[in-house]
Amino acid sequence: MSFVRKALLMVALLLMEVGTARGIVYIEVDSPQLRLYKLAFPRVVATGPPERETAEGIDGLLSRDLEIAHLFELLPREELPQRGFFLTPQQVDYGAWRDTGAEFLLSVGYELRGSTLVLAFHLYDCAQGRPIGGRRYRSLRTAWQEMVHRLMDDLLEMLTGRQGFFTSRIAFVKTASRGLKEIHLIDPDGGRRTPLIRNGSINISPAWSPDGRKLLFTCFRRRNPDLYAVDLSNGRVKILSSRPGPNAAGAWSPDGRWIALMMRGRSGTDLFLLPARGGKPQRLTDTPESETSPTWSPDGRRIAYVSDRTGSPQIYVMDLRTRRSKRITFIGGYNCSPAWSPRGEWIAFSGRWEGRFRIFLVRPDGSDLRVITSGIGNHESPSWAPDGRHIVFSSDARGNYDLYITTVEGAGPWRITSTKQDETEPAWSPLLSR
Amino acid sequence: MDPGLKEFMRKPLVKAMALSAAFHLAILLAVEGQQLLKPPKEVILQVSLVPTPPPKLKKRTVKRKAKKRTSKKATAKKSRPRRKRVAVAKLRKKIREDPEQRRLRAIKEIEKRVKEREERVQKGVLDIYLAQLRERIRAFWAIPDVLLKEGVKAVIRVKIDGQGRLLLAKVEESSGDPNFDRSVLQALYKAEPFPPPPGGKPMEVGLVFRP
Repeated sequence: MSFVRKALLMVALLLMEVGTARGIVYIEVDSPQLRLYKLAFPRVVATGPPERETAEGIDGLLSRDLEIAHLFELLPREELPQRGFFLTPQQVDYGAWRDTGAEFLLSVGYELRGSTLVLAFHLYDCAQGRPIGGRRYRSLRTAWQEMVHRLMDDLLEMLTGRQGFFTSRIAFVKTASRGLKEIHLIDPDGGRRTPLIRNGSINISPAWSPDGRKLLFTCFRRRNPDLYAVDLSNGRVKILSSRPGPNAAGAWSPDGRWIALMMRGRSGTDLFLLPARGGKPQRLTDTPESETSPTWSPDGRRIAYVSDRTGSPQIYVMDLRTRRSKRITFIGGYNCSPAWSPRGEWIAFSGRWEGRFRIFLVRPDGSDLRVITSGIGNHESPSWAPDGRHIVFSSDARGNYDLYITTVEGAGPWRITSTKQDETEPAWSPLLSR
Repeated sequence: MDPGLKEFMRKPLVKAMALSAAFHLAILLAVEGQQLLKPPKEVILQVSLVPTPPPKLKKRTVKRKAKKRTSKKATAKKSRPRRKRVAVAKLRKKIREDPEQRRLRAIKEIEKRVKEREERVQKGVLDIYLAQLRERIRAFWAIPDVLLKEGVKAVIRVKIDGQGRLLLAKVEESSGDPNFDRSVLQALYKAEPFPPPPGGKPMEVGLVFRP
């Protein structure tokens, strides 16, 4: 008996020793610092004959976009080593870059060949001392902003796994003279402003189709607010709904088959679903009060909207299958302009708080309410960037309405328009096919 | 059978029985008497000399006493010869062991205890080292909010040399997000050099990164 026991003990000891020889101690590391990446971005350099204006344009726009991306803390340029070179992987002195505290190094070079511009970048991991990737873009010199945006989108994809939003566009309403309203497009960093709908009438509430090829808007051209869609590839405009009374606040469903909109009901306005290819609209709400501003959940099963059925405008969420609605905002006497985030976890809206409109976030079930903007002026009409992290809104903080960008944490805000006219009702496009 | 022969047979048997009884009694006295007469100090000394730990021995004596009180013939018979053997062995040992040997044994015992304590101290030192290592790496681990996801985790195995330099960092279990993995590896490279491992010996540690 005791022999068996001894033998067993021996075996156990042997096993234990094998175990300790093979297995190692594991320790848990938690609570990282939540902060931006430290990025070294030395001045853009010419790889051919230098051209000051081009270099400064690219450099300025890239710096601004890197800031708006809100992923980087840019290190002061005076302290950077190896200045004035477009660094290829063989040339990088990682030790020197690591000493500056940089986690990443972005080296950008350009070359002008007649009317052609070549833009290239290399991204390095300074901490580990290895290249991450790089790319080269070639286009007409006049398309330099687009090239910078491509670069930004690729850079962000390399570092976050998700394409950036700099090649997307923002549609907005610009107030022109005599109370006319036009629809314009702008880059997320405020560049390349182009008019889209300018017809001597009032054009409002722009909304993108899910593929980014069409834009809905409401126009008073025929003396009634009718719903139109413009094809962005050829500029052709088509009328979609022209019932007497408003045909406004259109919102395209994520599958592209339906358009939710506000029309005149029996009394006040109600929400309807219009087949995108034409047909009879379905009624969604039937109340004596007014419903407006529908926004789709990304799975297309629910709609958030505004109703004043309790006496003040509040946000509701409707399940489209059961047609049942649930109120989700209870604080504040005026909550409007809901916008469902692209990943579905938030509904942004504009709410009046202490006499001013602020941008709020709330979960679709009404929990976790938070305010993300502060300071002077009103903050209105939020619209989500395709990354689900940035939000564009309009604000009269500087007298007239301008567009600003912030993030879900309330970073920035970065002002992207600065004209004397009002810019309102921004609508951020989805990622546009390249 | 012849009665004379019977008597002849009987006589040595009686003698033998008497002798055996006397011998048993002597051994019993030697065993029990030794235990009864020994001062407690000696007991401890004796205990430390045999490999069994003291609390167990105490238990055993208690058991033996209890057994005795409720003793039944069967158990008594069974345990007697073994006890006898043990007692004889002990006696022989005591006779053979001179004070010099006993001292050597005591020294050995002390050495063993010192070694045990050192091992305990070493384990403490290792724990402290691991805590320092964790703090150092944590201080250098930074990620932007974009990379924070529910339940994300990466396991990295590192080899550290005697001076605290990073010899190897291997992703044992990826988080599935190359960017999260990179943030973790960057933390290791930034945290280098680490505090030198205890005793200046190279070591291998597994690090479980969970934000």
